[in-house]
Amino acid sequence: MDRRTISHALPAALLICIAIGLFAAEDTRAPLRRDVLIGQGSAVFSEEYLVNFTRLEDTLYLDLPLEADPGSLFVGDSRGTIQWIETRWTASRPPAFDGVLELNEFGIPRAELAPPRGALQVECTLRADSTRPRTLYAIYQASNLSWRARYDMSIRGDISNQLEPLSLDLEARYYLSNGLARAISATRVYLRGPERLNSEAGSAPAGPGFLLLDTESPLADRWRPGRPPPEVPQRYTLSDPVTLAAGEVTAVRFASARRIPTDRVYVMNSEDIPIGSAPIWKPLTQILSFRNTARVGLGLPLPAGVAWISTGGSRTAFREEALLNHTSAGEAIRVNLGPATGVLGARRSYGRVEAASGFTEETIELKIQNNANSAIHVEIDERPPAPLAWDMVRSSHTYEMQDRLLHYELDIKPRSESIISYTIRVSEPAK
Amino acid sequence: MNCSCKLLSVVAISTAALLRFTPVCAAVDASAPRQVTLQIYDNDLTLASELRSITAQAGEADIFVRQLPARLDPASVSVAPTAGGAALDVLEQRFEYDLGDARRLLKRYLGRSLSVGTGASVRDGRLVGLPDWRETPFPSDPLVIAQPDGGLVSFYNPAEAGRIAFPGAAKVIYDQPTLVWRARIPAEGMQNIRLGYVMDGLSWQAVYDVVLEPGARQARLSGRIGLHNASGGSFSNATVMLLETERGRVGAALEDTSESVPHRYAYGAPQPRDERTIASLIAVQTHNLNQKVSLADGDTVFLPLASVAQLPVSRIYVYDGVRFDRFQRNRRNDWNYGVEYHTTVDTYLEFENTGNVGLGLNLPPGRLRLYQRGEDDSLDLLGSDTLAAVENGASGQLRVGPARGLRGERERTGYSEVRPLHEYEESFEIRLSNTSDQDATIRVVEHLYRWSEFEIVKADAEYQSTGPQTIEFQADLKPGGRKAIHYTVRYRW
Repeated sequence: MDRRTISHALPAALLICIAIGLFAAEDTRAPLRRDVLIGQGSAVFSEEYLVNFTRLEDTLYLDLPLEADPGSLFVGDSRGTIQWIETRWTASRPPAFDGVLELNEFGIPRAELAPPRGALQVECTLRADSTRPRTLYAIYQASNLSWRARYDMSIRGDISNQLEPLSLDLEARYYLSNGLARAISATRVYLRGPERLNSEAGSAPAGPGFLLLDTESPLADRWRPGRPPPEVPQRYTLSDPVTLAAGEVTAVRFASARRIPTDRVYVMNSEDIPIGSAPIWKPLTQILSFRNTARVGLGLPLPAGVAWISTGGSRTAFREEALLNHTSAGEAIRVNLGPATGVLGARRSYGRVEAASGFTEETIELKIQNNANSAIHVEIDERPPAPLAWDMVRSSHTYEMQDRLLHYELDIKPRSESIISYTIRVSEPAK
Repeated sequence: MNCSCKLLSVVAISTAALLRFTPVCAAVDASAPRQVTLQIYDNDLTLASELRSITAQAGEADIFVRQLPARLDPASVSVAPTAGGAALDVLEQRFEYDLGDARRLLKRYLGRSLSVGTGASVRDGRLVGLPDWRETPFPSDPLVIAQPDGGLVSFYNPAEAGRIAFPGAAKVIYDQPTLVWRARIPAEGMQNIRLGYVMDGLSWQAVYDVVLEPGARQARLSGRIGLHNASGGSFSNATVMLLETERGRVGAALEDTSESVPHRYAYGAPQPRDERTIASLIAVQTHNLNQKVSLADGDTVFLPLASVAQLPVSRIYVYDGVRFDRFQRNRRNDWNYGVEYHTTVDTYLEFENTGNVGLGLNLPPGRLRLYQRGEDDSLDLLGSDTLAAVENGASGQLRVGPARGLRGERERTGYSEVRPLHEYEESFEIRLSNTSDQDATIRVVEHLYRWSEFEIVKADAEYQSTGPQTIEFQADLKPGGRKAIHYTVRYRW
């Protein structure tokens, strides 16, 4: 071969090598785009790939995380012109036995401890109706990804002084946990989560006072926490592309607002206040309430999460940890500050009597004392003390009823007492 | 041990080896399998049938059948001649595979020489004691080797053994699952046989993905069959049949619930037994894959079952509000029976399994994932559920989950004993509300659970009977609308 031939052949060989390299690089194609929907413990990946279809039948090689669920992978195109033929998850083969057994300290062969498992490489065989490049989607589910939201709230103003206006600073972050053995870069990240965090999950039924209840007795159901109703999960969108490092938690700020004006609300819940023939006074629950609106710097769906509440503009004192439920834009956010000082409530029953109509009736009185120097707004959630069927006969105040729960709202002047009285007709079994 | 003893033992071992590997009759290898058919049941059992050929002289021979799965059940092996062939008479059968576990491998070397240990502490000798190291921390049986000088070395600690070298393993062990037959071959030449056996480790599942397009009137349905091979063998170009059995269905149904296993009577049995043991293994549905499948050991392959790009779906809302507490069951005259309720209105999607919409085949039960495609082309996972088997021509229903903005309440408004212990009357009010921004038609399902003899004596809405002791109302609700349905039922017994 002369020098001239070599000088021509070398670039040609180089080009061939580059072409082969490019071709080989295409074997495991990187996605053009990746969206991730992260739930609690798992995530759905939605990826786009370009497949050249230089022939009618082509193979898409996917490089998926080990935690991907083989049953969840499906591949297609938006127009439905691609026929999917087969997906193959190939297992790695154990090495052939070479006449030597390596044992671990328990006498178990090492090969037995590392059984062959599905490799990362997945082959999807596809057929097209013509030879031209196409954009395909691949959707699959993988475990070991989760997220949570956390809020930092700082209350400005004196909480105990009713006359002093309060405001609040809020910072909210998503903590995205990537338990995969690889980093994830996603164009769009969506989060899916519950409407509320259940702090009582798994807790045992609490009996009243010193009474110990057999949890298997019918009576125990009276104190057993009711099963929460099924939820419609909420979805949240991250505004920017995100890269999640392998095995790490990434924090992303999604809301920040300062000096949000807040209202004090006092809540009387019949579950917290015993009823009897004589009133037993209990403090009402103090709630801070503010609107999730753009005017205060929010106005976006806020996920359920843990809130760390401190007082002072520079978070000088940690006050408590609270659970926030999902809040849609425009709705009120309520922060529970615990028992109020100087605002008390009591419930009293006047017993069941045979009314002139021939039905059994019961009158209940709700008393609220405001010992503070300013007017307060009180919300009352009242479940009448009748485990059987009942109907409202009369009420001194207007109310709303949902799921057999009465809801009253009233304003109480400084240093005064308000009384709500209602009468129910109780249905009892025919004798 | 003196010299003569050693010589005797060497001679004995060599003779044993010769007897095993130099049989008195001819050794014949069966061919690789052809025309493989796999009938994979839904309860981890597979019936395999394959064609093999044997070329040998007439008379007795040792036949070695290889390329078999490690999880083959030797008791299930059957051999039959193909049409026109003479029957092969199998006199004796063994199933050999020494790499299945370490103990079996060591057992094969009992009486043979091997090396134990690593580095400078390697000991050579004849294996005379099999270890049982798994009983940590106090293994009862050590690995014992007899050294050439007659000394015995015991390895109580597997860490000391560390590495065991098996010299000449290729000639001593069965490194792949092998059936060894001592058989009488009726005629000289090539014979085809049909080999059948049962094995574990091959499983199948149906998987469905439904992507709801925006507006939710159409969906993209993709159904796949997944085959997983953990049988310890590989299969090439196999014809695959998938079988659904009553036992498989019962087992699958029980996986989804936390309830205890139901019991029922088998004919002639004095006591009811676990339903899973009584349910039949007879196939209730068979699905033939219309392509040949190659499955290497450990592989998982997914193949298309059904694919419809634009499947018409209708969305239905169901309120089935009654809830029973733990302590009031089947007590028809219990005043409190069935007075509890929940408020969830469920959303279901319904589709027709017909040829007109691109389906029209028996869909096996399987895991279904339901996605919603958004206006911005993003994908939301609505949930995952089990799709019950949908027969050709029937309609399938998918439970999506609670409906946003729809709510139901069910209150018992009256209860009276018309004739004590014989006739009772019960009235209900079902309140529905729609706080969503869309019209909704809610199907209100009411179960008349007290007794099979009932009469609806009063109802202020149309209803129809949809099953035994079940009626259904329909209520149309505008956005923001509320509606109440009242009815009275009278039971007699």
